[in-house]
Amino acid sequence: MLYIIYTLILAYVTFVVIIEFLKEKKWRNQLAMAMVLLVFILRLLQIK
Amino acid sequence: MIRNHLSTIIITIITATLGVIAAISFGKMHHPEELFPGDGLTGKVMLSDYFEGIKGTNGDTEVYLFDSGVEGGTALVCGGAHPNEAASFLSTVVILENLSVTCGRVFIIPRLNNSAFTCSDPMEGFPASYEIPTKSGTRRFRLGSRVTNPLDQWPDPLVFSQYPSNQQLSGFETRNINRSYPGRPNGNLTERIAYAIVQLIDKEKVNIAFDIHESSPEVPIVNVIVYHEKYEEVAMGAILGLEMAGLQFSPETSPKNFHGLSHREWGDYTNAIPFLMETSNPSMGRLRGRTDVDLVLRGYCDNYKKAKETGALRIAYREETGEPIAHRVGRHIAGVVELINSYNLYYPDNQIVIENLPDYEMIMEKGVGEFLNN
Amino acid sequence: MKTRISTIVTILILFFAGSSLLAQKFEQPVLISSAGQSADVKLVKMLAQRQDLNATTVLMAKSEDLTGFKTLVIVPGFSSKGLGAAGISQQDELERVRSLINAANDLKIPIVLMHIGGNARRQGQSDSFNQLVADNSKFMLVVKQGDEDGFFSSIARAKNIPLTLVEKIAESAEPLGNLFK
Repeated sequence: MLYIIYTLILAYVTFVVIIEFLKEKKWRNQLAMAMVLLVFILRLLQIK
Repeated sequence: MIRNHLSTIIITIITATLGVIAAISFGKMHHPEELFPGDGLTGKVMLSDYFEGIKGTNGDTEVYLFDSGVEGGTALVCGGAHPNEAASFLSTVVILENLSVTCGRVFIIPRLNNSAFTCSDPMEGFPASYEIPTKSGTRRFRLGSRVTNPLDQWPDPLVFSQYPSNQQLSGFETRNINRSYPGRPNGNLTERIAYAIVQLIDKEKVNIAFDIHESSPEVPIVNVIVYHEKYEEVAMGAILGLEMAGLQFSPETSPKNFHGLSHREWGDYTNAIPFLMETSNPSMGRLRGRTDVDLVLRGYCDNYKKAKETGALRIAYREETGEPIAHRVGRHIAGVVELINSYNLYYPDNQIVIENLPDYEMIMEKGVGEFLNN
Repeated sequence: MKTRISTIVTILILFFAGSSLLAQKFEQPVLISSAGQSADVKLVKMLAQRQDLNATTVLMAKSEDLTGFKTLVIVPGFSSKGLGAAGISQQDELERVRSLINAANDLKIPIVLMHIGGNARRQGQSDSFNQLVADNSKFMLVVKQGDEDGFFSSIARAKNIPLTLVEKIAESAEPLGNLFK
């Protein structure tokens, strides 16, 4: 259960960042968001 | 305005609910799973009965006794020194739930470092538990941490000075029971648990003691029997016996100058003959990929296959089958049986005769669950 | 005619192969040592005892330990616990083994390689010891699992060193004993 809740929170935050990423116009901010997303998505896939 | 408040309230309720569920789930790490010892069980005490100093702490743990009533030797089987090593705990549980003793006595401690079962290792992304299908349903087992829960022992010193050797190790190892032997009565919790175990070995006049472990496929000490130099023949006899049964174990001598480990200190400070066994567990390795229950139980990981193919390191990993839990548990139980057989040859006046444990092939064929009660 | 020639050639080959084996005599007393400090050497010690060999085991044998011995059996295989116990580095151990081998060669003491650790004592840090001892041996006795990739057999072929492969550790006792009969 703990894992599912953790995953739900992470999935939600990832979703929000993806929305912001798509809205973002400046490439510098896009790059920063992509980096953050990379970590989140790896974690969602249970890869360290 | 109202709409705004409404959304705040809904979000608060959802968050609080999730928080409560998560807290309950987290709290379950403190509830030990029920074990179902076999019919041969004759007694159950707590480790604190051997040393008061751990009474009422999370370090106290159950000690199960199988006494045949026939005069003979005494064995001690310990699992769960490092609760992140699934096969360590599970092998001991299979022994506990199947064993019968016809000569001598056997003590079993399935959760050697009970405190370490109540948390998991930070930053490792380990699952908190795993389930094993049995004859009548599934059983859930916790996957804990390598070391004592920081809630029970904190803070760690910068440098851990091992007692009594004064060997210097990193601070984290302060909470590692397998660096804390022989322990001391006025030390930190881990040292006190270690002390209690040494007291048990002394008081019960244990002749042969097992400490069951697992390690990463890439470390050099894997698929081994580590023995104390005083009891070389017993180890070598068992290794030859196991090889005849198709199981390869490498002998490793306990280094005289590496302190705090069971295979060193139990041999130096007590009259027991200590053995430590390791199997290969890919879920513990640095090269592992997706860290989930499947990796813990099936032990299959493509990264290790690739690593092995490079030939750069010795990797204890079988490319075709991986290192499934049945293989790891089967090896440990075969190791215990064969070491006791070998011990009996060298100490015929103090025999320990154990029966009813499944052999390696049986466990591989039917799975671990077949040998768990309930 | 052709068959006769090939028969003669075969007999000659067998004769030379056989005589090269016969030419290599191994005599007792035997010094058993390790290369890499794996505890496999303890198993070999036990096997030698079971074969009633006049053998002495010195884990960290040095050149001077060779005095009085007529055969040197080296058991290669890396063990971090073993090296830790001895308190030396892998480099120190390689140096020791190299000088021991050189001394044995100077004294014309034949070296027998016994590799019984299977794949647990192959590759990684073990192979530097395996290679060094194999290159200098006069006979190799290897448990098959350690030669799955043909490591020892290719050295044996290239250097014309007799090699005996056995399935299990326990089965290596007899061929070890036979070397000295």
